[in-house]
Amino acid sequence: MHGVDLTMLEWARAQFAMTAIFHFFFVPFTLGMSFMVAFFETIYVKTGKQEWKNITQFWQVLFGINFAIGLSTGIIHEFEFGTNWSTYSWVVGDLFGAPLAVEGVVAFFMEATFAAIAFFGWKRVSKGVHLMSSWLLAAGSNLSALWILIANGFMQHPSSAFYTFNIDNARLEMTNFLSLILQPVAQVKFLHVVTASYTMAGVFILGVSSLYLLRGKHVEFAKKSATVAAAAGLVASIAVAVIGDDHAYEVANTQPTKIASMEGLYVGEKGAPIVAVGIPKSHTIEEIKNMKDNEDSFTMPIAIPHLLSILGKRSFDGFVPGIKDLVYGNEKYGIWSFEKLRAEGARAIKDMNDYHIAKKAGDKAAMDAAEKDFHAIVANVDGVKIERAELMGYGYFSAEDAKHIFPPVAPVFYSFHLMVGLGFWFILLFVLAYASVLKGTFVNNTFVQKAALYSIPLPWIATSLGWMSAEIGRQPWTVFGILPTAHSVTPINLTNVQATFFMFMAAFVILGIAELKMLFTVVKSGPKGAH
Amino acid sequence: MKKVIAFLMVFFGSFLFASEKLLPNGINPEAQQINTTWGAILFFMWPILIIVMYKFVEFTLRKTGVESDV
Repeated sequence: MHGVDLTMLEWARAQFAMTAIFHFFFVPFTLGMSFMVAFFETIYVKTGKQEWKNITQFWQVLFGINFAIGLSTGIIHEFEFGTNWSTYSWVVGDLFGAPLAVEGVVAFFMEATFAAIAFFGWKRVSKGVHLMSSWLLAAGSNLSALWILIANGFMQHPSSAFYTFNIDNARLEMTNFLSLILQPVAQVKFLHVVTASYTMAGVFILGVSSLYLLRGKHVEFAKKSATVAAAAGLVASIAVAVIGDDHAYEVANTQPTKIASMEGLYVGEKGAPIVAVGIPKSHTIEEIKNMKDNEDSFTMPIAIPHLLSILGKRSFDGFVPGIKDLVYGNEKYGIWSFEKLRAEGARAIKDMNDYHIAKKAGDKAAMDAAEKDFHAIVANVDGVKIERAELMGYGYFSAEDAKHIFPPVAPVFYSFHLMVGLGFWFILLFVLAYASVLKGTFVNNTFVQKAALYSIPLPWIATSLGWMSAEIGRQPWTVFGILPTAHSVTPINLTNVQATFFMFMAAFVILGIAELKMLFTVVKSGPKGAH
Repeated sequence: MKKVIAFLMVFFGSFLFASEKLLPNGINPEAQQINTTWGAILFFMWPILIIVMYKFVEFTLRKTGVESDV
């Protein structure tokens, strides 16, 4: 990678990753708990029974603690786009910034307004208005996530259907907002995140209720809460898996390097298998170049034949490109080598430079020639045209970067597969809990209660792993295939990034301890101690 | 109902007969053309899911006798 301070880049990445992971400890809990609280309150309003009001208020306090701290960490996150990733913000600000702006205008205002009524309006507004506020708070929180995930969806799949590359200011400019917001990659990501969040809330409520039952405390409260959590969690956990399948399909078709790393697929195959369990082997780029098949990809693999083609291509024998195909090309399937992509990218960069030199000289003809070459169609597959400008990002890499043009296999493989494993565990947990609730034995079933209690941290681990596979899997790009991570960073002094890294770390540790302390205090006090 | 079945057949059929040619960087050309209809369907699954979850909670409360007044 030319002219980039790699040490500073790694610190900036570490800071962003730390903020993202910490922020995401709070987000899914908020998304899930907001609807669970709305469910409890609806039951209260429909039955008019005080015990359901007490249940609602208890879970609302836990939700409120998390909501406040989550909001503050999200603000730090947004500032980092300006401080550490200003080149990124400049190049794709039109597309990334627009959904964030909508989030601010619509979702934040909605959340802020109805949060005030939901948390402080119990004695100030009617039951109906309060209930409506709880539902609108939940909808606002979730819509907030929708806009963020539309922005993230663009980073994962920046189709030229959304934008045109302006050679004059080196920016991507939006051409189709509707396509941006309704692109399946973003929408399926939103569904995957919210269903995972509802699962998290279900596991948390089931786990805390189980804690009370194991200690013989607040039995009626715990029984009612667990019944609601088991039912909602069962639907949510199954939905995560169903939506996750479509999410994987979108990834397979829009981010081939990510799916190849996720599945440790070095050489592309028709009827590609999924290695459900195994230890992926690390290979040098030279070794990958000489690989003929995937025999040496894993240690102790347990593979399910054809499954990757079925899930990724919806075809028993669909071709799934491997890392070798994506680095060295595969003529049969129309995939170019990294070298060819790099050459086109370098030419696009040259066109841009030529354009600006000509502009300074006032040479209109040279400007037009450069712009024409910049936007020239370099590929046309089934009517889908690719402009040279769309490959410009590859031009920032050097020939030696072939080994960096795909994400590292091991972290992406493990994070993805562990997340999937945990997802199946949640389904099993909720099946067991729901069956026990239906039989009326949950109150005495210490096995399921213990399983639920010890599972409380697992959804946080699963959601973090999910984001690791998504974001590490997108590397070496911030905007897939368009903008390399190394060229998205702000060229600032290393010391600034290091200093703020430790400042944020200290703030997160303090906030994390405060959150846990408050949550434990409320849980320990029980429903009556919540207010 | 017939329209729904026809739509699903066309939708899933498109997978079976999809071209195997990929874009230069390995992306599926179909994915490059944004299917906003499918995106909109995915979006509306969200409120449907919330309603299904809540109705299933009510059903469970009644079925188990934990709360019969919902």
